[in-house]
Amino acid sequence: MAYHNRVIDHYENPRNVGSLDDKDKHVGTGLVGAPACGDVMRLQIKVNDEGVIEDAKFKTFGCGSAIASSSLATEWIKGKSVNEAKAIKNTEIADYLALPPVKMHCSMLAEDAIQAAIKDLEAKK
Amino acid sequence: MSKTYNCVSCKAPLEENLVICRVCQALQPIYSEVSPFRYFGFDPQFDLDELKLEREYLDLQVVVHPDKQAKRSAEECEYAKSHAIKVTQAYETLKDPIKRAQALMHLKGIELNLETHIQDPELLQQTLERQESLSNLSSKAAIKAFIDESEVAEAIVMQELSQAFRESNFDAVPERVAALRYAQKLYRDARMKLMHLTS
Amino acid sequence: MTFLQIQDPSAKLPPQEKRSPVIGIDLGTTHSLCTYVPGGEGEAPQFLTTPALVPSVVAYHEEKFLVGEEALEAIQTHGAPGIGSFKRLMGRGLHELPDFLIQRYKMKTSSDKGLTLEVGGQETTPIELSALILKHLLKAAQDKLGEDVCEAVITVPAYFDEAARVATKDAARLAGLKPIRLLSEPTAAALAFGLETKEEGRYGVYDLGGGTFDISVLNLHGGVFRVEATAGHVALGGDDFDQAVADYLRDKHALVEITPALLTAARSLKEALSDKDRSPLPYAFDLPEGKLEGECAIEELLPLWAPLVDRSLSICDQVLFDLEGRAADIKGIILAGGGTRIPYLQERVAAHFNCPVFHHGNPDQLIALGAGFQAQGLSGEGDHLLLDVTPLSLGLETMGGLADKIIWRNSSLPTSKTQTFTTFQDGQQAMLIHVIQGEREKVEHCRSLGKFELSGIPPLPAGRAKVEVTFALDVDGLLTVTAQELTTGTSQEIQIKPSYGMTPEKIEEMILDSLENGQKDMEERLTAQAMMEAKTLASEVENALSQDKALLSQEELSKIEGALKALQQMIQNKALREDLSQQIKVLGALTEAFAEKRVSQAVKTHLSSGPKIQ
Repeated sequence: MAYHNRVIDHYENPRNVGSLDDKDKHVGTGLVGAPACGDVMRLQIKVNDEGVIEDAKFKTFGCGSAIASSSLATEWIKGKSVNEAKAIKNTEIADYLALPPVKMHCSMLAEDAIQAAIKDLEAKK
Repeated sequence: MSKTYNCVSCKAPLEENLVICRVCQALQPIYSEVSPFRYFGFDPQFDLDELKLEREYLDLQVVVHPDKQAKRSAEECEYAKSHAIKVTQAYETLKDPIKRAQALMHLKGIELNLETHIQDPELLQQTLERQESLSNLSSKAAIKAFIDESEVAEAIVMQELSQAFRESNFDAVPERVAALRYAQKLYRDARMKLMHLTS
Repeated sequence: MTFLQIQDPSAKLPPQEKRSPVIGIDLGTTHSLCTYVPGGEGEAPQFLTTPALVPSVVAYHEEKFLVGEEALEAIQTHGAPGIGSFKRLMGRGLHELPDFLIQRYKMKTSSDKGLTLEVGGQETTPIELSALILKHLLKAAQDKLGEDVCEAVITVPAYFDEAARVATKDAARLAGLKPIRLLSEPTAAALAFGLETKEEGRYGVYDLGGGTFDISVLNLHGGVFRVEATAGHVALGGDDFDQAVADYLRDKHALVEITPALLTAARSLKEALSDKDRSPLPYAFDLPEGKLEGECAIEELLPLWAPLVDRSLSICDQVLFDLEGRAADIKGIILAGGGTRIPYLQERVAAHFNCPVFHHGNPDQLIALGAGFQAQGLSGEGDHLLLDVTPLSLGLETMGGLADKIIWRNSSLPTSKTQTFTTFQDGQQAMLIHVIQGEREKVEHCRSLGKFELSGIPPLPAGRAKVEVTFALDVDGLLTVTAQELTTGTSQEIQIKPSYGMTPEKIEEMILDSLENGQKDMEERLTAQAMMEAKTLASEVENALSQDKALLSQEELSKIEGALKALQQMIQNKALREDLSQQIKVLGALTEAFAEKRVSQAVKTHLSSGPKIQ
């Protein structure tokens, strides 16, 4: 299944690990946590003057699902506009109707981090 | 806890745990609404005598464990089955400081949900930095030092949490519980790193 | 994908009223044993076979399967085809086994029997081979304790996963046994140690059997034996040490391959070297491939054994990690299993744990003894309580192929854990619950135990639905998984009975078959017994007549001679059991008076031969 393979891939080889200069006014930083698993996720976006996300970096410590989902998220938002990223939705088409469960606290963690990063950016204006 | 429970058999008040009557040894039915504190006969507070908990747990296991029911009536066997799970669950709740804190807050009518996302900048930033430090360590000595520091840090958070409960400062509890969880994870991650290095 | 199996409710022990003896069984890789510990003070435990150790070997000879010593003899004396160490195959699939083994025994995967293999051209399975050993043990137990014995506590490596445990239970049922509990081997060893010595405190058990390794740490206090942590390896054992010696001999003598005969030679060399004297030992082995002569000093073998010991100690580190602070006050390490006789191994374990390391009694018998004690305990006769743990984490597959653990390894049994999950897609109405076992992060590296679907989830945005999943593990290790959607209350549940390839229909069929054969077997056995009795009686009477027929009147003599001849005819013609038994009675009755006369005669003679010096 496509999503399955992508998650395993991102879990084994996370992309976009790193950090951006949080003092840069084009950079927004989102820092979120899910205490249940002890997950902490920092997701940063660099937005150009056209409102397009040029770069995204993350640092996540926690369970495999959290790491994979933040890696996937940074890959997805690169090249998107801030407005598109705000409306980030899960657009993966599932092959089956019955899908494996998502851990409660991992659900939406990356999305929350992105929203927090955007908010941080807007607060800088 | 204002409610008193009495033995279903001899009617004596159940002053300690709610599993077995100290007077007549009859097994009690399950009262589903009791807190793990009341169930074990412990005061509902954060500070706990760990040795007393271990003793009580083992004593109760001897009473309720499925392997020890050969001489009981059918009715008591049914009670024992439910107690066997409940004794272990209550023990685990009381033993784990975070579950214990959750149980105490529940008694106060406050639900402590660890699955809710937090955005506490200070706590998260500190955790991120500590985790990054750990990932940069490579020598056994450095990791051992980190483990010791983490152990101390965890103990400090425990003290603060204990204080918050003693002072009935319930607003401070959720944040300190989250801090405890992150401190526990740092300690565990550091130990795991050392184990992988030395095995 | 293997799916869940029909539930198999654990045997409910009959209350109070008199029940038949429950036996303990150590179904070992190299040897198997059977014990009985009677209730009551001062009653010593019994080993029900003579000798106590039955080789876990099966051979095919003269058109039938032989077991134990008989099998070994057939293999060694007549070159019969045979197999040992099949415990290593229990619950395993073809893909988990080494090529040379697959080839040697022509292993295959059958559609309804799981792993099959050939011994002497006969197709069989590891379950059937184990059942042969168990049947042999059961028979010995029934001979000693009565026909109605059928319940047993059977030991398994602590680290055996669900598939191997189910396979063991199936083998027991196939043998006509009721396995009322599977007991972890190190726990059994600690139980025997604790009950016999009355020692208390934190002890480790380092159990190196023929094919498996387990390390457990237990806390013994007030009759409660509580497992705190356990780890192990199902393919590391004394056999590997033998293999290392065989490699050494092969290289030293430039042999082409390692034959079973060479392995046997290697094992005896290892045993000969396993004592304190470290001087070089001369050896001479007469093998089909030629005579092997030379000298071996234990120093030459240590570098070959070191990596094996290293692996076991690395596994011990897992347990020390899980124990955290409690690791500091381990009072001693009990050594179990024949593999722990090697002094080099003992030294390294002692150094690693920094505490005393010792055997309690015979390391080959300790586990069986523990099984006997637990059998006594579960009969309601014992005072102790065993609190065991699940050795491997249990969890489920989450979206993306990663594993989430619900019940962590070393959780005390019985236990129940609940966790809440949610949906991945907007409007998702069904959830796939895939139950797995193992410590790894990726589902593909864990063992699949079963699957089911929860449907009827109300359509909601992704991440809003709440599905509570509960894992309940009972004291026999039976897992029940329930999933419930919280707003509607709709729920689904399964009891996990993982398959190792054998379908439940197939095993039931095999059990029925064996019951029928069991009847036949029983008949054969009773007939053989009667025949033996007849022969014994006939020869005794013959002997008595040759010495003392003068004591009989002519009438008495001719009656006895007639009955004797009739019995001898029956023996010759292999008469029916009932007829034999009848004639034995007749001859017995006729010779009773004769026997008395002979005794009186003997007393008279004795008295008349003068006073005896006291």
